[in-house]
Amino acid sequence: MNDLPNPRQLARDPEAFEAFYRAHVGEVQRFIARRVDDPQVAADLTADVFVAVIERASTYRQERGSTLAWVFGIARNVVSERGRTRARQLKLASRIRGRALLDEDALLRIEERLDAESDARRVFAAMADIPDADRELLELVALDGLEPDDVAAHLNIEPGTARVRLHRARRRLTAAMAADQLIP
Amino acid sequence: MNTTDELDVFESRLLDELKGVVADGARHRRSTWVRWAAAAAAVVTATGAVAFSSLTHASPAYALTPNADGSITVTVHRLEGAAALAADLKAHGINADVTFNAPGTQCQDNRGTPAPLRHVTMGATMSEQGQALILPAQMLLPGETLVIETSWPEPGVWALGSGIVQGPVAPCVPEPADQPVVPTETPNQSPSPIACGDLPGGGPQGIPADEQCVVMVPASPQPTK
Repeated sequence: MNDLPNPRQLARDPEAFEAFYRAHVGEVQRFIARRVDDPQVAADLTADVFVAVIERASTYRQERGSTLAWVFGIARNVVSERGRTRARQLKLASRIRGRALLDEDALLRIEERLDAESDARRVFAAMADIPDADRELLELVALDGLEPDDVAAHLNIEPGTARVRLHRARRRLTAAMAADQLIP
Repeated sequence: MNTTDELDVFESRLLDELKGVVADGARHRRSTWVRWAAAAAAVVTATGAVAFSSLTHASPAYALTPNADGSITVTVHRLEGAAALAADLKAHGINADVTFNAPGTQCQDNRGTPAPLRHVTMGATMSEQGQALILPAQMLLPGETLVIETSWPEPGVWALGSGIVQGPVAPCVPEPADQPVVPTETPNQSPSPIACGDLPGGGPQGIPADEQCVVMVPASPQPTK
């Protein structure tokens, strides 16, 4: 992805944005599918994430982790703010109603994607009680497959600190999932 | 690069919509700065704008006028004397960083740490004489700087944008100006939290020439309700 434009250009250059979108739209949709199970909501959130990417393009810092970590960080905020008064919380200047852009085939593809990520959503749900500081780290590593050092850079914490927190969060997650299985 | 047919209908439609957002100028992408710039640009639009170099040069480039309530009115007639204006503001107790960009250019984003969230109400008026900013008394906290920059909402038309920075302010590195940042009213958009049109008597497209705009600094969560 090294030939992709700097994300800071995304808000200015439609061509740069298109290249970025094509490279990341699949990852963003899978990211969302690991967190929500409603295809209409997933379509809305996909639109919201990319609008937020445009609006936050100037926040990208090359030294703060990979482009994907930056995108996932934005996506995580968008998804976690879902359910509040979305436009107000996100301060989105432009809203695109993603579900209005769906056709039957696209809806089917989203449903297939949601089916494929059902296990991930169970893990995501089990993370609910982990304190947010550790949870973001755990989500991005264990659920979304980013490298711990990359997430550490994104979160602006030392790699060693990240590993300690990751270990702590994994233990809590394991305990939470074990507790879930005790329920008949 | 991938080809279009690798995107499904949803992804292609969404791409088109998003490219429209980018091309539309992504009005709010400059966070703190654009909020004021957008308000100022709206005034420009409503009043016919300040055309670059169309004004007489017989008068001073700018003027500072203390008001009875402690506020100061800064009227900029021409984009000249930025350093002198900053010095004059300093003499009036306002720590300012002023940049008058060349036509079609603007400063980079994020020149400093935005000041803590609070309301700051500034006046903005536009006339054939130029643009005026009414700076309320004690608008800055210790260590803060009022950063004033030029924006170019359309070719040949300037407006002043501003924000408040806490701590050091990075020098301006001119870059090509954004697309117009004039707020527009379209369905499915949340109202701009800062646009002049939010104010009583100021419809999104019909802002009176002397309407006052409200600026919130910085772009942090808006107070709800």
